Amino acid sequence: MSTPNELIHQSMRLKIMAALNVLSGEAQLDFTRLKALVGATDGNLGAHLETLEKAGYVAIEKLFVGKKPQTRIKATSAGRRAFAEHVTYLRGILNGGGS
Amino acid sequence: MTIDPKEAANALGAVAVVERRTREALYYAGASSILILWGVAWAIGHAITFAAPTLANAAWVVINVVGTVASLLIGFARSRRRARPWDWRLGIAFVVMIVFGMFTQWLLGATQWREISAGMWIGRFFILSGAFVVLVVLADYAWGGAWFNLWLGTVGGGAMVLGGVWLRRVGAGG
Repeated sequence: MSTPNELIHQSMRLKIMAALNVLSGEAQLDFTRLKALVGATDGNLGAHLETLEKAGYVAIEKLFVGKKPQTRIKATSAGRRAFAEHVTYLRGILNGGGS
Repeated sequence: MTIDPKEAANALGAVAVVERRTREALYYAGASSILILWGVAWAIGHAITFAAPTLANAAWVVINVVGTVASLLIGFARSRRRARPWDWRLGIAFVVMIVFGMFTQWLLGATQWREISAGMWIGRFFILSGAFVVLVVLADYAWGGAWFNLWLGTVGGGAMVLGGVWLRRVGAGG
């Protein structure tokens, strides 16, 4: 059985990865939309994204659309893999695989 | 690290909720362009029907064909941008809906189509906006008189365009 991923298991980071994992390929979500989807505050989301970025699970792109700054986030392939493995681990617990 | 079954179930539940919300937001963003397109098409069609009734049949055929092709192109372009394979079943379903609508219109006759209410709608937003358009059509049918087509074009078409703009705001672009 696989092992739990402590970094992803934190509830807000798990939600962030769940949202980003739904997107396909190189698609990105902007910061504001992601914040609404996972129900986070600006500071909270920013801190968790930084943690995920350091782990190599998300890629963050900062750009200007006109004069407006915009932050776009996507899951990396390592992030998708880690998320999938953790979800498999959680399902294993429910199916009687133990923790 | 130890995770008990209750905690695992809670975590998976949270994942499922966020995944559903995200899919909904992506779907809304994709639907917004198509809703705006049909709002404009609806407004143009009814404006022509009001101003030049003799051209109405030909105009609606052109509008339906152009609208259908444009909708398919928007869906196709969007699926390519998202690196997601284009699902031809969606395109076929859309064409079937259009053919069904045209067949129903033909079967019921030119004047009775006013009684047809909303078609097939997906998601809560579409149920609400569909109900609104049905109300607009019914109110117009009861009180519109000679202004029937102009009312439908401006209020019905305008509602669809506004709905599309709102969807773009709540949806998640990629």
